[in-house]
Amino acid sequence: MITANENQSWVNAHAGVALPGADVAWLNEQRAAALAQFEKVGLPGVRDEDWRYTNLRALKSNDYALNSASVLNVELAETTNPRLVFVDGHLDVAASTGLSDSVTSLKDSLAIVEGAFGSTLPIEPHGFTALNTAYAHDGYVVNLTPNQVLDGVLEVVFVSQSANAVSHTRNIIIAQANTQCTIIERHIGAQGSVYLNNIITEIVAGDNAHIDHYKIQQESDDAFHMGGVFINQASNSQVKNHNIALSGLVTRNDIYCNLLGPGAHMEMNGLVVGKGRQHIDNHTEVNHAVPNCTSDEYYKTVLDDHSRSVFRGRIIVAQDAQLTNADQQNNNLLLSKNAEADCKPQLEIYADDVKCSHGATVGQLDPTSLFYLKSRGINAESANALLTFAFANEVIERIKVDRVREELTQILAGELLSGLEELI
Amino acid sequence: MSAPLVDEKNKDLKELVKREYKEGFVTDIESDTFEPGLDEDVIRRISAKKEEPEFMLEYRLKAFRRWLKMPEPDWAHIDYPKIDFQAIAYFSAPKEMPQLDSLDQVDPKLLETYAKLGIPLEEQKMMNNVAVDAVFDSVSVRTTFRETLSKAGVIFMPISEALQECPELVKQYLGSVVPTQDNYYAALNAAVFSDGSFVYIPKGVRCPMELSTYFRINEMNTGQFERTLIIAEEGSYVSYLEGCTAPQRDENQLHAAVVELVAHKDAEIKYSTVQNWYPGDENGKGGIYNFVTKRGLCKGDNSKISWTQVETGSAITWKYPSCVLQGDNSVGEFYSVALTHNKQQADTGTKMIHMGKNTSSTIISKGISAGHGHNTYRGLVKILKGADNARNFSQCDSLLMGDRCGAHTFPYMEVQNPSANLEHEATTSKISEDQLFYLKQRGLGEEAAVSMIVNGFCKDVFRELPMEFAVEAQKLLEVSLEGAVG
Repeated sequence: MITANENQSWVNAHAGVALPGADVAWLNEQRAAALAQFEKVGLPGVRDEDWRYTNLRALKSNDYALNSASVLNVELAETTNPRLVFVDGHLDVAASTGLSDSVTSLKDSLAIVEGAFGSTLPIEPHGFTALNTAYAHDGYVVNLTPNQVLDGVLEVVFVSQSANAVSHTRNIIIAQANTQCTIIERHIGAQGSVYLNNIITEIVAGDNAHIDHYKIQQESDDAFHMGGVFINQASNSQVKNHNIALSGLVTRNDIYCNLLGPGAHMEMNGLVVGKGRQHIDNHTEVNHAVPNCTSDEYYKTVLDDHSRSVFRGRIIVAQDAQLTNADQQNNNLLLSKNAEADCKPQLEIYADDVKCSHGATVGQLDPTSLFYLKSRGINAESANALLTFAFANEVIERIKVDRVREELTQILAGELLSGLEELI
Repeated sequence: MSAPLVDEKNKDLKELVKREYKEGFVTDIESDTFEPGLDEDVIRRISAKKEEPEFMLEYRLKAFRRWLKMPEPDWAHIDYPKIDFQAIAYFSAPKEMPQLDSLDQVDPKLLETYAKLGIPLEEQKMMNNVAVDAVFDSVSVRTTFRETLSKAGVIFMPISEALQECPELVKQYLGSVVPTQDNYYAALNAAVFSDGSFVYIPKGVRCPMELSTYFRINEMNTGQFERTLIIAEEGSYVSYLEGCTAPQRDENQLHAAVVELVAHKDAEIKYSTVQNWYPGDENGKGGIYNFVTKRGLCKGDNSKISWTQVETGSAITWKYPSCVLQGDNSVGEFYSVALTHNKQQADTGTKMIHMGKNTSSTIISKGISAGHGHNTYRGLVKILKGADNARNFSQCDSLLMGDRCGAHTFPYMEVQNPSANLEHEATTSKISEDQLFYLKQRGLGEEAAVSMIVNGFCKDVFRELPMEFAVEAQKLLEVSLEGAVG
C-alpha cells in the first residue's frame, strides 16, 4: 500500500516548477482535477487489480526531478525525414526539423488543443496518468485540418539524457475529417541511466481519418517508462497503433481506444522482446461503443533471462454496439527458466449480434520445425534463433510502411539473430 | 434478505418441471429453525445440536473470528444488494419428510425429451426408475446403497454422522484443501455449516456406483451451508453427483457451500453438479445467492480430478471449482455450462494450479446468456516454477440470446516455467441465422430449433455427465430458456 506521505512527496517534488499556460483557465481546471485524482488514488501498487503483476518498488525507491529545458548532448543518426527531438521531455527546437503550422509543440499550441487535451483519457485515470495531466510541460501537437495529408513520415525522438529526470510529456494528434498521417515515436536514453519517462499520446481521429502511429521503445536498461496512448475514433476512421518494446527496466503501456463512430477500425500490434531483468506490462482496451466497428489486436512476446511480461487485453462491446467484429491474439514464447508471462485477455460483451474472439498461448518453439531446420544442417542454436526471430517478425510484417518495417526487422535481427543476420 | 432459510430442496426434475407449469409450487415442511442472527453463541448452539466433538467447535469458532475480520469480496462481475448476515437464520431442519410421489407420475414433457433424444422406451423406463428411485424411494435406495457400499469398504454418510463415527478421519482432512481463511464465504461456511456429505474410498477400490446427493438431501435437508469432503485413497475411483433445486420464494436466500476433494496417488474423482436453485422471477425478484468454494487437491502422482457443472439456477452464482495439481502427472479437468436468463448473474470458472511435473489440465466452459442475464467466465491457469512440461487447454465460448444480456470472459494465465504449453481461446457470438434457418426449413419450430442448437453448443460438456444427468441437464436448459426466443 502507498502511504499518503509517499504521494505527498511526489507532489512536493514538482512544486515550484513553472508549467506552460499558467493563465489558461481550462488547463488549470484540468490540472487541479488531476491533482485531486492523484491525491485520491496515489501511485498504483500490486493491490490494484490493474497492477497486480507489476511491482513498482524499484521505481518508487528513487527520487526524480523535473528538469527545465535541456540541450541535446548525444548524436542522433542522420535522417531525411522531418524529425522532432525532445530532450528530457522538452522540445529542442535547434535539433528539430519539420516544425510547421500543423506540427508544433504543446507549449505553443494550447489554444489548438483546448477540447482535445484530456478528452480521450479514462474517467478514473491511475496515478501516473493523473500526474501527467497535472504536470504536462511539453509534447508534440499534430493538428490536421480537413482533407490534409501529412507528407512522409514524421519522426519524434524522445531522448532522456539526464539521470534521475522525470518527464510528463503530453502529445496530442488532432486529425480532422479525411486526413492522413504516419508518426513514429522513438524513446531512447543514455545506457545505464535511471530516469522516469511518463508520457501520454492522445489521438483524436475525425471522420475517415487514417493514422498510423508507431511507438518504438529503446530506453536505458535501468529506466522506467510509463506510457499511455489514448485514442478516440469517429466514423470510418482507421487508426493503427504499433507498440514495440525492446528495453527499459519497467515498462508500462496503457493503450486505450474508444470506437465512437460507426465503421471505425482499430488495429493494435504489439511486440515485446524481454531480456535481463526487464518487466514489460501492456494494458490494452478497445471499447466498441457504437455498431459496425471492427478491431484487430495482435500481440507477441519473447522472453529470455529473468524478464517478465504482462498482457491485459480488454474488449468491451457496449449495449447496442451490434455487428461488432473484434479479434485479439496474444502469443508468448518463453526462452528461459526464469522468465514469466502473465496474461489476462478479457471480453466484456453487452450486445448479441457480434463476433468476438480472443486467443492466448504460452509455449515453446515447434519441435517439428526445429527438427526440420536441424535436419538441413543448421545447428540447434541457430535453428532456435531463426524460429524465434520468425515468431517475433510476424508482428513487424504487419507494418505497412516499408522503411519502418525494414528498419525494425534489422533491429529485431540484431536482438535475436546475433551473427546470423545474413540468413534473412 | 430477511426471511429464515427454510430448506426444502427437492432434488427432482419433475418437481421442477411441475413448478414451471404450476406457479408457486412449494412443498410444505414443518421445520425447526433458529432465529436469524450470527454470533459465537449461535455457532455453539449449532455445534451442540450436532453433538460434535470439541475440536469441531474450536474449528468453527476460529473460522468465525477470522470471518469477522475479512472484507466481503467485490471483485466479481456481479451486482447485488449488500447481504445482511444478521438477517439470516443459520440452522434449519425439517421435522417431517415431504410427501412422496408415485412412480408412474413421469412428466409427459420429460418423456417427450427422451423421445426427441432417441432413447428407446425400455431405456427411458430404466432411467426413470433410476432417477425416481433415487429421489422418492429414498429409504430403500439408501439401504441398497449402504449394503453395496459397505461391502466395498466405501464410507458415504452425512458429515455430521462422520464426525461421530470417524472423527479422526474428518479432522485430518477438513480444511486441508480449503482452509478456513481461504475466502470470505469459505470462512463463513466453516463457522456455520450444518451438514453435507463425507465420502471415503479406501485404497484400490473402484466405487461400485455413482454416489449422489439426490436422496440424501431429501432425507436430512442439510441447509444452506453444506460442507462436502471426498477422499480417494491410492488407486481408487469415485464419481459423485450433486443436484440442487429450491422452491420459489420472493426473498433472496444465501447458499454458501464448500466442497473439498483429495485424490491420492493414482486416484480419480469425478464430481458432477447440476445446479438449479431458484433463479428468481423475470424481474429479478427472489432467487438464491450461490457463493460456493470448490477445490480439489491432486495430492498423489497420476491422480485426476474432474469437475463437470451445469449451472442453470441461482440469481447470483459465484463459483470457481479448482484443481491443485500437486502430484506429478496429475490431471485436472473442468467442464461447465452456465446459463443465465431473466436477471440472473453468474461469475464462474476455475483455477488450475500446476505444481507437479507433467501435469495437464483442460477447461471447457460454455456460457449462455439470455434476457437480461450476465454470464462471466473467470479462470486462472498458473504454472509454477517446478511444474515442468505442464499442459493446459482452455476454451470458453459464449452464446448470446437477446440484445440486453452480457457475456464476459476474464481468464488469467501466469506462467513461470518455459516448458509449459498453454492455449486459451474464447469466442462470443449469437445463434447463427443460417443454422436456425436450416432447422426451421426442416420443419422445426423456433423454440425447438434454438434448443437443438444450444444443446449442440453444450455437447462437449454434456457428454462428460453420467447419462441420466445429461438428459436432465438438457431438459433443464430447455425449461430455463423458455420464453428466451422470439
